[in-house]
Amino acid sequence: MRHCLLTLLFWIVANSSILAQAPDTKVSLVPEENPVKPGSETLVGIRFQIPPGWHMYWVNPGDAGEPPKVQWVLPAGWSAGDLEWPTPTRMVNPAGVDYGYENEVMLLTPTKVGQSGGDLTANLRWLVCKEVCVPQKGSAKTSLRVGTSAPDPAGAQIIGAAKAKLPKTPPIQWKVNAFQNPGQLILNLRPGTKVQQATFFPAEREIIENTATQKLSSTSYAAQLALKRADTTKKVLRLKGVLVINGATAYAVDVPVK
Amino acid sequence: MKRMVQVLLPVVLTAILAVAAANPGEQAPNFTATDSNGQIHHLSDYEGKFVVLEWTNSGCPFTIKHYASGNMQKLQKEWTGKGVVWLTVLSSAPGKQGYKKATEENAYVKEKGASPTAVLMDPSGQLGHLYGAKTTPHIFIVDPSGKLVYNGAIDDKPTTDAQDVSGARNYVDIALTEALGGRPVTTASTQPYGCSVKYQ
Repeated sequence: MRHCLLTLLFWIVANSSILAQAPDTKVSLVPEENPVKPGSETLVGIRFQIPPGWHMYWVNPGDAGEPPKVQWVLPAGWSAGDLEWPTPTRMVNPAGVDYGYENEVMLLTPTKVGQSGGDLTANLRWLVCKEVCVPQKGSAKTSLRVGTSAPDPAGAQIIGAAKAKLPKTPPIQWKVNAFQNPGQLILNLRPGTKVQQATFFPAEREIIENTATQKLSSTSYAAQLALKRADTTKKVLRLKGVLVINGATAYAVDVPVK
Repeated sequence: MKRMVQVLLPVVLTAILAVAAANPGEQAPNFTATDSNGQIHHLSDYEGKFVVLEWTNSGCPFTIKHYASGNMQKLQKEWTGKGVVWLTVLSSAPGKQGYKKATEENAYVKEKGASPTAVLMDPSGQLGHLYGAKTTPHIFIVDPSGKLVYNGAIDDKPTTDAQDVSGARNYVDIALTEALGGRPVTTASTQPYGCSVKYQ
């Protein structure tokens, strides 16, 4: 009996590095409207409530990690568009720099409404990490009726708050543009005021070196951010990502690289 | 003289710090490391051979993807069979995920049916930082002249899903096939994917 217990204990200890555990991440679907107008477009949020101290990843996780993935099961005639990601935070560790979220994240999904209502199910897989990374999965469901559209009593406000966390489109007069120098991508903009601080989050992997300092030069009306190119053989035709200015406002960037 | 030192010292220090990473096309940094059997290895011991350095962490889901599927063991067997030296490296600090004592690592290698030439124990992270190892897995390939010919991901599917292994472009297979065939490595540098290396 004692021998069996010792063997079991040994087995548990020996495999403990493989049995990494994480507290549950709560997932739910939050509709902006319910009922929704047939044939219209509505927003459905996928809400992740992340255990304290743990984090999840942005569409580009950075140096390590993996973004969450969704597989939708929808009523006939409905379709889900690409996820809209809130501005991530920059997470630094001894091995590199990652991009992601702590506490909570809401991924907004523009959804095309069919002719009749029903259940929307999101089958989700994601990676949650602290010191270790643990793959998790789960499903979230909501039921939407069709008719004259009305704000969902619980969801509308939450979705409104989530929309505010999406990066904004920069004004056209800012003339955001990008060009290449040897080993560098240079992002230019003319916001008409002095930029004190700027951070660029690349939306794709293998574009910039995530750990490198981003060098800002700014005048009273224009700013230039020098980004160190990633050391890969991938050619860069467009610079896509999020530019956060003065630690406060986030802008979506999607420009060709000259 | 003092002025010259004031000006040159920061330049020299920056240069020293800047080379602590390995770029394809350059000479791979020489190192001294101890393996899980207490033997000492230097990169220079392997002049005249191809060397693969594979960073690992047995608890990392990305590493598990390649070990549970048998993919890593298959690569090790195939390429060591062709005379390539395969060095698995553990740079997890004591107390962090992936750290193992030598006997634990030897037992793990046996259990997984892995066949690296040796496993280098790097709990201080010195070798990891020397090469700039960022993730587990992270692969470096050195040619017989000591030149680094590949630095990056194991394949082109940066996920934890074992189903992605068979359809992926395996950069290690491609690079070694090209290099052993006397051809230049066409994809010499990719962004590695995995869990962050658990340095101190």
